[in-house]
Amino acid sequence: MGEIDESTFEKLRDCAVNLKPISREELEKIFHRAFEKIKKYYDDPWKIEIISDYFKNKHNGEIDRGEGYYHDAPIMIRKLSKVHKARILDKKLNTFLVEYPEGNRRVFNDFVPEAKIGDHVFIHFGYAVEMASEK
Amino acid sequence: MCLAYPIKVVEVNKDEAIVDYGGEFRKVMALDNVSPGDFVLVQNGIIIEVVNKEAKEFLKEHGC
Repeated sequence: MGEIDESTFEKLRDCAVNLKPISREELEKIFHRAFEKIKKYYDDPWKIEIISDYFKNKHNGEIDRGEGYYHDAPIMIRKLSKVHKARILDKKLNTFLVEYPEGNRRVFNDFVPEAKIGDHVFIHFGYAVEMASEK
Repeated sequence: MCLAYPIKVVEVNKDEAIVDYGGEFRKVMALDNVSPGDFVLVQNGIIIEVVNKEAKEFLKEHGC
């Protein structure tokens, strides 16, 4: 299943959602592409403000320029891979239906369970990652 | 990064679908419109995305 197996994914998800520790080595291995890119721009990737700055301000540009993995990636993959600001339209189970400039999408709300319909969130692949301001 | 692999929808019944994990069939939630034959990304037992043919081929070749 892609680059990591299901049990690794479940462990990762469990750590993320339930705030359990996981080693930096393991995270760098799983997210090797992201860390390669972050290290292009910053000296120390292990600061939350740097990771946040990369994803909010640099990541979409990397994709638009077709760098690395994204060189031959079709539009849908690029769209899913980017970080977008989206508005919550609806909630079902542990997902939100959100709208963003490129359409509507369903994302998991595990990281922002407190978010409500009408709130804005940052989305990346199948997740609402963080609350966002409206502007 | 994504952590999902496109899998095929075999059957849909209201908000549930049967998907084919390479021969192993599982029941998952389908909260949006999907049809048998669609390729989807599933996480935590919920269909989160329907992928088009281009995206499906790319993910199968390159992983994600």
